Amino acid sequence: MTEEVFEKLLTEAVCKMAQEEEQAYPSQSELQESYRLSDRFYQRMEQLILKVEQREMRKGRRTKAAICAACLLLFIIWWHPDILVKAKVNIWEWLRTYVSFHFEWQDFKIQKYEINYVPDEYEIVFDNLNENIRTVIFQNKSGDNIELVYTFIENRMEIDNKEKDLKVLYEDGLPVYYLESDIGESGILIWEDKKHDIVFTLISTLDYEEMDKIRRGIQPEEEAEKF
Amino acid sequence: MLIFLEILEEEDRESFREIYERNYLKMYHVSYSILKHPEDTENAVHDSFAKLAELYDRYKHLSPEKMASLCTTIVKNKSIDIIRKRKRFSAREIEDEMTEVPEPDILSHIIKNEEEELLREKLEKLSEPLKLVLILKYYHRLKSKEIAKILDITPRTVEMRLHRAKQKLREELGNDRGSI
Repeated sequence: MTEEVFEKLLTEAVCKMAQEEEQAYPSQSELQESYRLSDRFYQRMEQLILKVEQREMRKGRRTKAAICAACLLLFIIWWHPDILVKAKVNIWEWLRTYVSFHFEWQDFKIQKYEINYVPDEYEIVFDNLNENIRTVIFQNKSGDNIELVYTFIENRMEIDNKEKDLKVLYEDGLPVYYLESDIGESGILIWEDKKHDIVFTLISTLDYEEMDKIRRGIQPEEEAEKF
Repeated sequence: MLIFLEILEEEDRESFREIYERNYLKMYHVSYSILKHPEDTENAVHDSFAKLAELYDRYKHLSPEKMASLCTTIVKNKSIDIIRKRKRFSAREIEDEMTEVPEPDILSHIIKNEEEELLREKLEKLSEPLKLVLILKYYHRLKSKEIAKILDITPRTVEMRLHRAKQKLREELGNDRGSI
């Protein structure tokens, strides 16, 4: 008998055996007459079933929410495809045109800075600090963000300031790069702290005066975290 | 979007509760025939449903017939585990020991050719652990990894049991037919 024939016969035999075994068991009514299970068993089973049902319900809700969100997004894109295209183009064009980063890992942790001023209506919603980079996000009730990112200056940042949109201002002898925003869109402020080798990027919908106020309020904490 | 949500609401498959209601008594019957002890049998049935709950996402789409077969397979395995713990048998000893699990009354069945009939006969005589692996592999069409998860053994052990089962069957067929 070849291997192929054996496998085929075995598959058929096993399937028939499994089906016949199932058919040969007593009926539900016969089983109910024959066996009496304990209350403890039924209680344990009820707990298990409830657990599974709750888990399935949560999963179902998450799936429905995800589908609704996806449908809404598709609807928006279908109705206003230009919004998505414009957003993508703007972000990509700005990154390509103005900034290039070259990251090199440092042997020490980044200096921590205090943020002494943000406009009153903004609250901190995100603050992540690791060895090389810190990201802080403030948000107001309207959902407008102020985003501050700072990292080592050795992660070299090259600014192309040939474009007329980018203003170069000098504060205490050091350049501060400012990309002015259109109404309702984010402006960007970039500057360096040469003493601690840090470069900052501040993004918000605020005007230059407010952003500069925030910039001036960012000061290094007294304890250095280098080692 | 509303149509989408309506489709999600319609559940053709059995819920976990329905699977339990439909199968727990049969599982008790199967397990009791092995363990002969009501408390151990209840534990085996409960643990089997707990195992099924773990794997529910993967197998909830099975037809009621296949789900029933999976339930009895799992409870047989759990019952064998309990026996092993009781008697501290090794897995291999259990395989050799459990050739005398009481079978349910098999309905008479007309088999077409001689080789198939012979194979069925030898299959019935295999030990329960080997039969379980064959059923999961050939009836439920599961992979070794999936079988390992259901039976709480390693994929390597699954492969070994499959190999051992097929080897035994070939040897038995060879003895009966005068050739391997």
